[in-house]
Amino acid sequence: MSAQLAQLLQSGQLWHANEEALVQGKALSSGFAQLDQYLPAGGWPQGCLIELLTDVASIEWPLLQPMLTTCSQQNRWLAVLDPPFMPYAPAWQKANIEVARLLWLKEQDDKNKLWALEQCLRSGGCSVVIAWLDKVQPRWLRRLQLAAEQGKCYCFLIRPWQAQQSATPSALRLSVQAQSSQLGALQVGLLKRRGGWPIAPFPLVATDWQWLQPQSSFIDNSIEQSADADNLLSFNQAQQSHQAKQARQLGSVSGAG
Amino acid sequence: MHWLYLRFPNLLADWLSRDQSRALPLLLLDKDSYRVMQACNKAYQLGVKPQMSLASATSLIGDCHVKVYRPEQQQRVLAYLADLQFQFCDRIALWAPDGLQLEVSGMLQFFGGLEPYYQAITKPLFDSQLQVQVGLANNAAASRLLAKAGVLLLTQDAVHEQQQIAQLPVGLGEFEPDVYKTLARLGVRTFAEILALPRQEVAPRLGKAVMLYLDQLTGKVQQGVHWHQPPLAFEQKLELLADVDNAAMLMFPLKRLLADLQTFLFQRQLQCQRLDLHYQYRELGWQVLEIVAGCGRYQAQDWLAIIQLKLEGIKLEEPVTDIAISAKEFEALACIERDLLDSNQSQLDSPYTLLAKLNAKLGRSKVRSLACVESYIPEQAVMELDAGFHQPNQKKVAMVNAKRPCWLVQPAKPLQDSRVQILTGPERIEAGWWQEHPVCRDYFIAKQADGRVVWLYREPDIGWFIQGYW
Repeated sequence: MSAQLAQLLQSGQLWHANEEALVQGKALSSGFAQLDQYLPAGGWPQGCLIELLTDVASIEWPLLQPMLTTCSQQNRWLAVLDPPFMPYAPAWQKANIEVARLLWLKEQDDKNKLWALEQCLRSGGCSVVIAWLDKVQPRWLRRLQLAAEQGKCYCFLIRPWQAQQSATPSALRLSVQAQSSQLGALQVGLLKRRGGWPIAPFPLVATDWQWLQPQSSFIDNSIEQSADADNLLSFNQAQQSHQAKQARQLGSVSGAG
Repeated sequence: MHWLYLRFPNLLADWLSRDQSRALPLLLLDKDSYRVMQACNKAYQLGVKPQMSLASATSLIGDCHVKVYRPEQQQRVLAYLADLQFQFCDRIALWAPDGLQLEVSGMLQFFGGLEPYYQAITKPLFDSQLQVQVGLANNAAASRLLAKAGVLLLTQDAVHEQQQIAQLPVGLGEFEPDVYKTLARLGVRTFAEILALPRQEVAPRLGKAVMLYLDQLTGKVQQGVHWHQPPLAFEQKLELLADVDNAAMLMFPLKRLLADLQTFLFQRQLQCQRLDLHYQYRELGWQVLEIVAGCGRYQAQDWLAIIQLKLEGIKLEEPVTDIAISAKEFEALACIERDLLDSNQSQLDSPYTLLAKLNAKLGRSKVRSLACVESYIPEQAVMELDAGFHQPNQKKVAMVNAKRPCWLVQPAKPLQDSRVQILTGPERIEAGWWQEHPVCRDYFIAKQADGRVVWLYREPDIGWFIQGYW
């Protein structure tokens, strides 16, 4: 190795892509074994910007929910900055997230949003910050990165798909897409990660999404629903017949027992 | 009983000009005659004297601030000073316009005698750049007289005290104006002479009030005193010496008000969560700004940081002439919880400090918290509230045991794209029929063409709506 190369390595301007331990500090398991193995330090890194690029805002919830549940045990805020919809507290509570720790910032002005985001990150008063940002300059991202390091929190920036084209100083950049073939599954890919190559999108199924798998009789009937009452009627009939079938099955089971 | 009297001969001018060493001299004028009532130290050094006309005073000092002396303003300052004395004495009476009467005998043993007590009580007053005259005596009237005469007796010896009083000129006494004339006609100059006069003969000529005063002075009669009760509310007003038209310039005078607030709170071992910042426009009158800290605080610097953020978002419409701070709701001073093992935490803000900053800059309407409510109607099962004022770990609200989406579309929006695949449902929610707006909806969980899972409902005769997203 040439002396120049060694010097670059020494100063940190150049790094080995296979060095996993480049990210220092704590990491929190994402709750998905498959994802953890790709993440540096085996989980979401603390004090780093993590960018999630989605084509549809708010589908990233299943990915973040295990982490939110863990972090809501801490006596700090879970801040959500300008989410596209209102967080539905009963569902969050059902996922064992302490709703009283939730801080919902409704600010929509870009300048104020960045200010609030920086405050949340820097202050250390938040355990998790999730921010929905459309446009943000790389200069601001660097600033946020520094703030996140100082405040030691988990920071997720939810950004639109187009952000792929711009460079980023963040440590992690993931792509999150809904998977149309399998219900409740997400296609998650790692576009950028410190200390590793990008990973092509792979399906990720949240454990508590099993309930969403339709029952067989439903799939057979799969009703293309339109906004008129006739269809609903037929749908209701289908459901009644399904329930009747179930009842018969139950009856026969209990009879056998 | 032993009495202490604090006399502030130049109270209002001293108060308004404290910490203003570089500002222009200040003159307070009588509102009718426009003669100097009080002036700041700097003006006195330049030769200004009370009762001087405005023209002669300004010819001596040149540029200066001129204000009209208002007795009610001095009364407020006096009441505030009385509140401050409660750390030394619990029996305090306001003696308008410029004095405080303290009954101190109960405190002498605690402080170890008259002299240490005198030192303790006067030190903060001397430090505060207020002119003060102190009188100590065995009765209230004598303490006032000695204070006015500038005689300090650090002894409880009553005989010596009466000797001192006897030598004082009657001009210092508290008499009606015509009594002074009568005394002059009688050729009485000192208290020794007036007390030597035979009582039966002099009483009809001088009147009952004078005799009562003399009896009080010699300790034959005890004077009834109305003790001051400090109110549990903080209100401090500051008249700005010059109009301010930039919100950031209010920070400096605010620092003084907040320091007073800190003293007020610390003495009572209290903190407060919110205070009102009042400011008066020259024409438009008083405006109020509510400042919320998110958690109880007492320190001036914490409040200052919060107010700074709040003021950044404010544009003054007119020059401001006065500012005031008031606080009404207090709670016991509590220490801030910190994780002892996490050394890093000490340099960081507490979650409440963060909340206070966000509240101040963004406004409370944008910093929200949520709570679950027992209700069958989906949009009523969640309640929005101001962040920070409800405690975690409260009793869990019983909830409908059905699948609910993590994002609520509020208000529900009509379904535009009908290409959805129903996954489960319907779940009928029929509630609120006892209220004004009954709800009867059939809820479905469905999959959109783009793969998202949505929560839909159908309202008979109205149509389909999207209520939430997973």
